[in-house]
Amino acid sequence: MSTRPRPGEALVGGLADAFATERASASPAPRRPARRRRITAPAPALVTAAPLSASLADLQRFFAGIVMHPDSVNAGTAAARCGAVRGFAEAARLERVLTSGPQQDALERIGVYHYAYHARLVECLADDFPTVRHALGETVFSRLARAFIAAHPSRSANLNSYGGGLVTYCRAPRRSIPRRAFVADLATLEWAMVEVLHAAAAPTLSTDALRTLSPERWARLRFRPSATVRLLRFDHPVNAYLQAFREERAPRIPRPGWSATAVYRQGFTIWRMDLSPPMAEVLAALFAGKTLGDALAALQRRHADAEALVPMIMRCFREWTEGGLFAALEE
Amino acid sequence: MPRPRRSAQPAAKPAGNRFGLPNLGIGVGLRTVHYAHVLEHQPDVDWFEIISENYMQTAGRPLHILDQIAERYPIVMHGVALSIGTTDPLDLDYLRDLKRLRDRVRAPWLSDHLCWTGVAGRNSHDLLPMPYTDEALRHVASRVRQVQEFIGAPLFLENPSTYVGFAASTMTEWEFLSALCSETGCGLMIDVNNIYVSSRNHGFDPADYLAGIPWDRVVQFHVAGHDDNGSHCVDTHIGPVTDPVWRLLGDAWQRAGGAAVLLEWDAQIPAFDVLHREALRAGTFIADAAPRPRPRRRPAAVGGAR
Repeated sequence: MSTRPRPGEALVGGLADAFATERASASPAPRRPARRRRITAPAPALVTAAPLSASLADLQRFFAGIVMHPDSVNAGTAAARCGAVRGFAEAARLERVLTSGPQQDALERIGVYHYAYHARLVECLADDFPTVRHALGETVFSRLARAFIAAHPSRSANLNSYGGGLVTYCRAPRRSIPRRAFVADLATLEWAMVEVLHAAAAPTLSTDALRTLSPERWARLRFRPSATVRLLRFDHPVNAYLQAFREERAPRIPRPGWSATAVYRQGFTIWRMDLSPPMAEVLAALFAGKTLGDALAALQRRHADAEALVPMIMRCFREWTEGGLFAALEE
Repeated sequence: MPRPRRSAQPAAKPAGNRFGLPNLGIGVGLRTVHYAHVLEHQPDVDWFEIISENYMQTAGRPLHILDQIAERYPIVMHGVALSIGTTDPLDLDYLRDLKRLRDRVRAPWLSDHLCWTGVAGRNSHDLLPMPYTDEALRHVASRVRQVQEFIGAPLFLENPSTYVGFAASTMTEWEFLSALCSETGCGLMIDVNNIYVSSRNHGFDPADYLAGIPWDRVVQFHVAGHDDNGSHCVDTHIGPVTDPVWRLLGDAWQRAGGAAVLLEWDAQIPAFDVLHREALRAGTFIADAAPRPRPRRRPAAVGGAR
């Protein structure tokens, strides 16, 4: 059986497709746990130098400067000491700010937070972009994610929208990302799925509304898109790649090639529908607010076989309407 | 209306907290991998706790599923992004969303952590430690009062697991929490796994921690698994709860006169039945812990039952 999606074919979804996972709860487990050391009698926290006098705000800026530093915790500590936080240049010893513990010095201890900060955000991006991660491989994806995190730290209390910035980041020219154009297309597709997942459900146009229309009214109709649909055009066949990845067919990165996909939610299932060029043209014109008559006229100007295409497009309307792509009709 | 559910723990009477909030029994954290199971099988769980932020800034499928689950089970909200300790301004949009979600799922209380998550507009999405100083206490107390006024209810703060302390601290965490309760009327959600993890990381005796908690402020407990790396422990919420943590729960539950217990398991999450079975082990450790009378305390200055 061919698993390659055909234009107009709806693909995958369902409750088990739970790619929107928990964002922040516990500290990520260290990838390589520290060497076990035998603990004897617990000792009180060690303060070996007079505490540095600093305001709460300065302490927090110093701490965050280390934890969020893109390089190592050592580099973060050095940068925080030299940074804009008043008084911390005097903190020649980190122990004047942070305590050592029974088994770890202050640097190792704040290193737990430095590791967790980066691991959590990389994990968040990996949740939203599993196919991009597959395409790039773990190491390159992690490098990309960390570069993005350094350039665009989260500024929201919520991580649900954080991954959206990665799409723009990948699209920026001169960015050093292998197969950047393909990765940007793939990231766009995966992010559209996240957006559609979180979009508010709203009433959609029923097929009954189409059935009662007289033929002469069709040309004047405008089809307002649903909030739970995204129409995407790509320079690579990324939907086919994503589908192959989900079916564990170990896809190879494809050559450039035009493709278009509608991502939409029907009920609470996310669907992806590949579109042929005429279908994408008509949908794009409708979503831009043109009447159906104008959209079909434009199609006829561009395609020699347009007369044959129009019946196919009209058949698609039933599928698009049943899929909830339209919110309402306007005349 | 949530239907009544069988509790696996002995009844603790009278209500163990001054807020008059119910002991919901033994619950588990609601996680996406279990959505289908919960909806299809409607397992006999006393209650669920959600991570509030997973249902904020979304209007789609997560909320739809939560609505269905909230029809059948009590839902308690536990946040990770309030950042009560940050020196940045309070995020009123966040509080508005939080309050809207609480009303939507009819959560009997909502909790977050004694921590800060970022500063200067940048969010680490981690629960960062506070210095336990007079300045920090005044700062956090002022913000707790503002939050309580905004949400029209007491705020419940969880003791965090911490991996480093501040040299400037002048009091212990439990002294800080106790003072915060006195000054603001806020309540506590005690995570006994965090007490254990922090005790290992800082070298204090968990018994001292328990002795310093104002137990009439406690409405809920957390238990969870952790990673023991020898040199330090990390609160990973992975794996079963260790016996020392269960024993701490037994002791704490007794001191509180009984309170709701919740198991957190956030990575390498097992099948729902395995998770629930682990949560119900709490019953073993609190079965013999009959509530005992607590010393009387002055009424809270601010806040109270909703």
